[in-house]
Amino acid sequence: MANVSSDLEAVINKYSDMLYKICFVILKDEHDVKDVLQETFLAYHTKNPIIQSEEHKKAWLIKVSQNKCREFLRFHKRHSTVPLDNIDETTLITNGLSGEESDLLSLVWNLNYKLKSVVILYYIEGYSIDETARILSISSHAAKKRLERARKKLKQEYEEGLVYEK
Amino acid sequence: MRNSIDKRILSNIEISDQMKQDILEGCKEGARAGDIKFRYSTALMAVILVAAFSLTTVSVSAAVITFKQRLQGMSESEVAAYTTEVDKDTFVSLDEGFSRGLSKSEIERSLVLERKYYDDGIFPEKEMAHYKTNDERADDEVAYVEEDNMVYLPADDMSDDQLLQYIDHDAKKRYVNIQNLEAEGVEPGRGVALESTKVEEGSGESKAVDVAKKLIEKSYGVDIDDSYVVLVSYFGEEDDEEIPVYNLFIYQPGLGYGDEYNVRVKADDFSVMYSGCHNYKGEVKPLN
Repeated sequence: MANVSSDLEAVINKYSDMLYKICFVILKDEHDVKDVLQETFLAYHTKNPIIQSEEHKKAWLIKVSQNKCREFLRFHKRHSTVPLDNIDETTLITNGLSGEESDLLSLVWNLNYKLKSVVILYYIEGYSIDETARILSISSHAAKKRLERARKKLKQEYEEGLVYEK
Repeated sequence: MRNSIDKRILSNIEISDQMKQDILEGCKEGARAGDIKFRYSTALMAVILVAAFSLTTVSVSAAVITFKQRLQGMSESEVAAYTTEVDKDTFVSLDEGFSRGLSKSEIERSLVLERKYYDDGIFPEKEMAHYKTNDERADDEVAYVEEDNMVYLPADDMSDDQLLQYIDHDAKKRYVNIQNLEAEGVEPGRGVALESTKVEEGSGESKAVDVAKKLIEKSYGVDIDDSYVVLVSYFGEEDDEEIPVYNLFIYQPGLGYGDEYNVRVKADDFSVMYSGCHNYKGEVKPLN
């Protein structure tokens, strides 16, 4: 029992911040994010999935949390269109960011869920198209199309270009 | 070289130590999230579902009435057991919920047996066993075990009656899941729904359904009758579709090994953009 508990604590410590960031951009409310994370880590704790590597663990947690976010959005439609400027935490979230970075965050923030989720997983978390598709339970073709639409939408708003070469 | 977005833009979005601690404590206690979306009051839901089923008036094909009559006969404790099972699902991957996959023989027999189940009202001699712990089940039976949320199948191929238990379990769980979703205002989607999308006569959806049925009959020689579930959804500009379309999924309810038809119909002129028939492996069946 002690080992299970310490593993759970280690997993929460290691992955909760990453999951919090992803889910907060989608759900836009810390209380809702807490509910989703509670459900996600509870699933990890009770289901005890067979995990082959740390990368697999991370992908498993992201997949479950994305499923929970999707259920949440379907049930609570109010979250789908709140702009970044209209939430209480705006100042805190953009604190220290350059104007360009704030603009970029705002653009990503204002995308709908379908486009936002692929942008977060592909451009921010660095997953491949196939990995992104698997996590979101969509086809690779659908993932590619959504990324294309996201790029088009963001470039329309952001003349200097959405992304930069590493 | 690939494009990326600097994670720095999310650097101020951080989970607090207090929230981490709350989540850890909540998990240790097995506490569910505060939002009702994630909470099913098992006993209450069982009562609601049994009451809802008994009030439902049925006006569909005889086979569905027979299936619904079977469901209406479920006791409160049986509904509660399925609600618990649905409640514990994380929907990560179907494979994770079963001790093994079906063999080729089982898949072939299940396709015949599920038509007998859904269309002809042929049911198993007994229900699939539900146990709290793994110790309670025998190796050669088909059983759901609550402690690890797993359906255990015997090592050898299931008999026809065991397959019918498996089909029966899938149908009941799916139906309880659907009632939960509908109670929360969520429409059951592809692979879950047991009934076709309700469409108004003369609506765009209705016309799209007619186009799809005629196409499938012509291209595959299959008559889409009442035994099929026809799901139709409209996707317009708000869904990032450049061309508004009606998207249709058509299948017979079952374990998911049957063929599924996908048709996309343009909303402006009802011409067909895409049609295909996929088997459960995702392979495309050729046209007639």
